[in-house]
Amino acid sequence: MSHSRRSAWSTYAALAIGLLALPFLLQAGIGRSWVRIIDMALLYSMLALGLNIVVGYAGLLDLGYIAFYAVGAYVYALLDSPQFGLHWPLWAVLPIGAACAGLSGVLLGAPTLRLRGDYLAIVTLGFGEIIRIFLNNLNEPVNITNGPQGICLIDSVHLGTFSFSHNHTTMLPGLTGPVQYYYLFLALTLLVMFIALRLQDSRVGRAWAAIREDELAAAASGIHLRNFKLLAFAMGATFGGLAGGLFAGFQGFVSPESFNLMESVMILCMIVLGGMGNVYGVVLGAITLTVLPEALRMLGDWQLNHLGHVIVDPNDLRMLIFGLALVAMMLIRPAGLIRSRRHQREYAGDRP
Amino acid sequence: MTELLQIDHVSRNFGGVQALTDVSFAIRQDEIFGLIGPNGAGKTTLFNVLTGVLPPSSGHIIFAGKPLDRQPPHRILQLGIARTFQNIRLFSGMTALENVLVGQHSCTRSGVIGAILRNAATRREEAQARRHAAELLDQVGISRHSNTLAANLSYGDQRRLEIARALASQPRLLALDEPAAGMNPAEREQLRELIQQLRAGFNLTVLVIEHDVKLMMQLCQRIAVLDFGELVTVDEPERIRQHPRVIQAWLGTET
Amino acid sequence: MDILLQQLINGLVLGSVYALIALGYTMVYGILELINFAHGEITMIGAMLALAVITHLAGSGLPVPIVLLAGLLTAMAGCSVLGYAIERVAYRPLRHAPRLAPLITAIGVSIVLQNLAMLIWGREYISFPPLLPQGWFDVHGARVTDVQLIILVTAGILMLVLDNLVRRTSLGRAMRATAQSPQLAGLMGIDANHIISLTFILGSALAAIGGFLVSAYYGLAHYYMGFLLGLKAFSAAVLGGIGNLRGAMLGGLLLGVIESLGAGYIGSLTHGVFGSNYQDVFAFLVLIAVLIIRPAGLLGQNTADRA
Repeated sequence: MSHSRRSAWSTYAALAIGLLALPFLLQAGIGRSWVRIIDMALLYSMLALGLNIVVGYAGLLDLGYIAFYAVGAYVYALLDSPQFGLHWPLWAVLPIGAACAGLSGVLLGAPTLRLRGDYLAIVTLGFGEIIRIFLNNLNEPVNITNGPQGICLIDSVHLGTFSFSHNHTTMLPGLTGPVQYYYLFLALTLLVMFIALRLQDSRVGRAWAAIREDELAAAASGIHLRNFKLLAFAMGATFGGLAGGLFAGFQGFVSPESFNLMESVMILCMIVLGGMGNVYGVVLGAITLTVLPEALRMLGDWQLNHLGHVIVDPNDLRMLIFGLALVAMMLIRPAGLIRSRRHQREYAGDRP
Repeated sequence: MTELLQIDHVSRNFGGVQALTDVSFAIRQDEIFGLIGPNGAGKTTLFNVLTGVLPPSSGHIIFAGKPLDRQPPHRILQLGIARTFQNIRLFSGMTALENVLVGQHSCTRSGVIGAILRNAATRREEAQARRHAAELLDQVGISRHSNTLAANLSYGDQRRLEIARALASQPRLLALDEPAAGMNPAEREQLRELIQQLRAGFNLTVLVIEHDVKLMMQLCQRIAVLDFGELVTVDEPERIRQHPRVIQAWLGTET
Repeated sequence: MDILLQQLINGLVLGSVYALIALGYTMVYGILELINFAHGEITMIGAMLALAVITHLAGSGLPVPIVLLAGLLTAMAGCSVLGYAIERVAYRPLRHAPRLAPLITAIGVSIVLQNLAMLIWGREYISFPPLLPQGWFDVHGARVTDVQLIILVTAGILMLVLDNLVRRTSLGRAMRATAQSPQLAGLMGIDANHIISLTFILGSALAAIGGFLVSAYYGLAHYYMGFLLGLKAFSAAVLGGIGNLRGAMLGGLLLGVIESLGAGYIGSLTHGVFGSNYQDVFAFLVLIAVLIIRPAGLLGQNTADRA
């Protein structure tokens, strides 16, 4: 017993050291750009964990999830850039962005959540497009979003005078901007994972699971369907808004093009690939689908170097492969890479 | 005996089809009340109207002195009516214990903050809920399966689990929709004993819909007979047995 | 007044195309209760195939109607095969799975189609060869082009034919029976799988015609056109009452008119705060409004089970 405990602890310790050392290893090994890629992977993990509450826990297919990411990102961008000359502190901007996203989740959810699942999917998809159309066009008559050009020169994520974008290599060799963001995002991702796990194993999480499995039986067990669906929607949207704010500060630039339908579908892919409902699977899915396109990009470079020109642009192939993967996953391994016990039956075509 | 539930001139139609016509009867505190009738007589419709799945086209239902008009299913449960389903509707991907925990939803409080912080009050509530769930599983006789997925339980055990889940909300009226469907005679006998035992143990009033007339005669204190959406009679089992319309419409062909 | 009339005509023309595409959604939904998310992409493939053939034959010296017809027929054949294949491969294995599963495969299929089209035909807009009649005539101060007239007439005839097909022929009866209850239809000797395949083939052929007409109307086709077109057609189907053929026709026409009037008047109604670049928002607003106010749609029944 004490032996297995000790080995568990040493596994955790190794994992922690590995995670802490990872950005330095990447930076030294294959270059700083890969640290940025991992940073993005962590951002997507947070997003996917948020959507997982909606889709994986409560079983509500939301195809416009990226809109909440956009709300968080634009709130940060507007409150922390030369656009309005505002430079609010992080502790105010991030919660405001998350709250705005959560609120828009409630506003969208309140009228639509009594609809059946597939209708909800289409309405959310429409909502995502509406948000994008507004972001694209709210540059006149009053310039709010700066239209398709987007907003640039956004302040970096900063705490007091500490900016996460500035290098602090004098403090510690190799402590570059991307590395600092890595630690910030890692901490927040772990926090979101923690929250997601706690929620799953609670009265609230069981109510969501009950709604997902059988709405009528859930209602007959005393669960207020609309309130709990709204709660899932709002929680998911809040995480989306949080990730969006971080994204704006990290990139320094936002434009409507970052928030199109394909992004929503991508995040859905991450969940489906990793295993709907399973927190670790979702993170694995998010990391896989962020890193994979970058690996594919190397395939393009390889063609350029060895064949003289690019025959098939891997960027074009990327979404094609995702689409095929989505179909194949549903047909072959509907429970995802890491199976969630609860979902095995549900997505495997349940006939008792 | 006081009346717990009053069905007061309830009608329900679907388009042009009259599924229930002006049905009135009352269920008394502490009795086991049966509802029988041939297929299509309107039993399940009445059940759905009672539990808030369907609104009545006209008429009222009064439970413990309060009207249930147009209350949604979760409100009806909170008021004290819990039900099971004709074609079992368990949360099949959850364990038996988790199913009963969901059943306690209306008796527990903790929300998102409690779930995340897992503070003392939440932990206490959760521990108590689990203890209570384990007791309920024990009382319906499936405690050894508490960690089995509901989907993997045998048919009879699924029926029992559904009853445990309904009991978890501490109802005053337990409404069972064909609880013996698909059971063999021995299982039916066990089920009858279980229902009588639970009624006494939990101070319940029980409403049962069943096809099995023999079982109903042994189980119920009073029985209502529905036919073509109309109430034929409400009476004690022996008198039901002798009612001419019951014999003609139903019992004669059944036995 | 002529502006109003002009917007009405434009709306009806566009709406008749929405209606054709909406029919595909509604037929599939009526039988399988599945939102065939890939239907918009099938429409896009139809437009692309038609344009490819027409562009290829444009210089061949064949008479223009023959060239156009060849393009149209190729598109219809191609889309029928595609629709059939999608149903067999992506939907049929999941017929008894929960609703979310086929919807996710449908999204996957549409991503695949979109990106295949991009690989084959590129990212650029493809223009319709200048074969179409350029004439127009005047109706009380509004201008109706020959192309608009062709679209209206074609769509109108197709809708009449389909309506009669479903109402009067034995195939139509079999389709309606299957929509009511596949098991019962099976007992009556109707092969539900066969009917479902036929439904997909028929819907996809209509989508091909819709795609062809849209590209003729705008003079353009693009690999991304299917997404918005599909969403609008779906909104039209929901507006009319999904599962109901005449509803889809009505919904399509109405949506076209709403969109056209909306785009024409939003500027003056909001004193220039919103311009016609918000045109695409209308379909979604209509969709959301219908689902909230009358989920069964204008001609649909059965409101109870949606609540």
